[in-house]
Amino acid sequence: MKIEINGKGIEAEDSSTVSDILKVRNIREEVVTVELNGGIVERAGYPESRLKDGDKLELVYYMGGGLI
Amino acid sequence: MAQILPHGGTLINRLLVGKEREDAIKRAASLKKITVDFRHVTDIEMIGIGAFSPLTGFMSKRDYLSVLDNNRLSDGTVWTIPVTLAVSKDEASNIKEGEEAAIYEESGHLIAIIKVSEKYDYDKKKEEKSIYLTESHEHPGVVYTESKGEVYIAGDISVIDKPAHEDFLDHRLDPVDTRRVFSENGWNTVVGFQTRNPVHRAHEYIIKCALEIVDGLFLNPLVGDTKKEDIPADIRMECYKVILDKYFPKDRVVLGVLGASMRYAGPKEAIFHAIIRKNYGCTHFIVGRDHAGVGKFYGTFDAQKIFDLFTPEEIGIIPLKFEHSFYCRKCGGLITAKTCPHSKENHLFLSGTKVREMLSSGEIPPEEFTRPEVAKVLIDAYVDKSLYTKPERVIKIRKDIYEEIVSHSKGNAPNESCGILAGKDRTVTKLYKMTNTESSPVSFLMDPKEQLSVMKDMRASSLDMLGIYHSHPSTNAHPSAKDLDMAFYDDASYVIVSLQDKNKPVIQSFAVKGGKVEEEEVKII
Repeated sequence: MKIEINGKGIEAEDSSTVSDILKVRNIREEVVTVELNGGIVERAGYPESRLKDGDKLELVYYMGGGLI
Repeated sequence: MAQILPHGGTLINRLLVGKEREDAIKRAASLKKITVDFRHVTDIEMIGIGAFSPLTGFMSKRDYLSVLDNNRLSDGTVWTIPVTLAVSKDEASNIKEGEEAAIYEESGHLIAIIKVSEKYDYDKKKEEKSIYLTESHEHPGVVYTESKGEVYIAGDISVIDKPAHEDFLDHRLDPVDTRRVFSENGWNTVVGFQTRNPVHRAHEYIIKCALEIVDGLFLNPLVGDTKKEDIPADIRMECYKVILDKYFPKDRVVLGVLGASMRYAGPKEAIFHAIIRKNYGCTHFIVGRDHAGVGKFYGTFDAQKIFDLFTPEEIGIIPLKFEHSFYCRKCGGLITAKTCPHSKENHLFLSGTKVREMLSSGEIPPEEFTRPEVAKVLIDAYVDKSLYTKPERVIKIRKDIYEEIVSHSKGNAPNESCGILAGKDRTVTKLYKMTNTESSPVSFLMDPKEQLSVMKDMRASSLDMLGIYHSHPSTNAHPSAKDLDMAFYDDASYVIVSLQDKNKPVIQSFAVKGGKVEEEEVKII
């Protein structure tokens, strides 16, 4: 199936979940925000969020820092 | 007074000579082959010459687990760092317990034979947590552990050839050599000082404090694998020679290089380093702040405190624990935080970056910081050999954007500010001011929803995300450990604005990739 990640079309395996996509791209779940078709997906929902053809995914890493 | 005994009581010698060596070379031709990396090569040399006494080879599972769990070998001898031979599963399947195997350097040079007593699987995470006290991939020890083979091969080794050294041959002293020299000099007490840096006034002060109470100094710089940003060993050696020649009594110092590899295991490695120096015949060992540390993984004094876990008899060598030293204008001399009552403004402090800048432009740092003779060696190196190279990557920031960043930072002070820098071709033409959801003077975290909308806006405007900026309202513009931990975008510039001096904001930029930080040049255009 074809999905869009951060505006770019990519070919993903049929019925991949958000977890699968992150795993394939070697992204740690705890450091990224995921938006699926305009709505933020909570982390607990990654394994169940199954993607379908044409889905639009936005992945953005946390941006932060500090002394403590 | 008799010389200090090696750790475990006997100085190990696993170097083959004469016929035994020739026989081993012949035998090796028909043995299974193990090829090892540089770390293992240095370990083999250290075992062979007795620097790792009482180890006679690579650790058995029993010893290995005992070191991880109890900081001791299985017989109770204090030992804090595993010395193990890692091979891949494939290699391990060819090697049989009870048989010998031949060990080669990557160049194909035969260096040793191991009598395999055992092969065993190990838990990388357990080892990382026990030795490096972290599982973070920012730690070079963790990265190394993850890259190693999955099986450990244990057994005594017999060294056929030490690695072929081409440099510092006059200063390659084995424990048997240093013990002989110390004894010939009539030294009962010897302090070991390990360093990866040129000796500046601060180090000189500490070494001399130590030398006041012992007979001799063993200056023992590491020339094994050090970090890329360290000054090359040959230049450091020049610095050591010149400072010893001009400022130390000649009959009180021995200079010998140590070919061991750094683990950056902080406190556990401090014990290990002390034990190695005991094997070289030292009775005392200088432990400074954050000895063998890297980044911010260990507390400043952890490497000193760990010695309290053992009785002095168990370790045998006396740690001399020192604070950082510096020149204090009010004291009128070199001093440490332990003995100086004056505030920071009176202390001469030069950052590493500042010193590199001075040296590379041929400027001699103040005499209170470094001896002019040492400065000269370094200036020659920096200028002639172009040791200092300007940062490769440049980020250009349009002047109006720069001013917007500074005013945004000042507006939110004392809290940290943050934003996303967008543009094309490494030139920032747009600032997205972001909300610091933590509203804190010491940290920042962007709002994910805002981030997502900025990402889409950048795309719609055909701009690239070039950098992530945040402010340090009261500290310098260097990234903190957490800043680095949270630098997930490999290609982004991590720009920091320091308002430490409110009238003179400082902007610096860094590339952070795989835990490595490189400063970038910032051009305001």
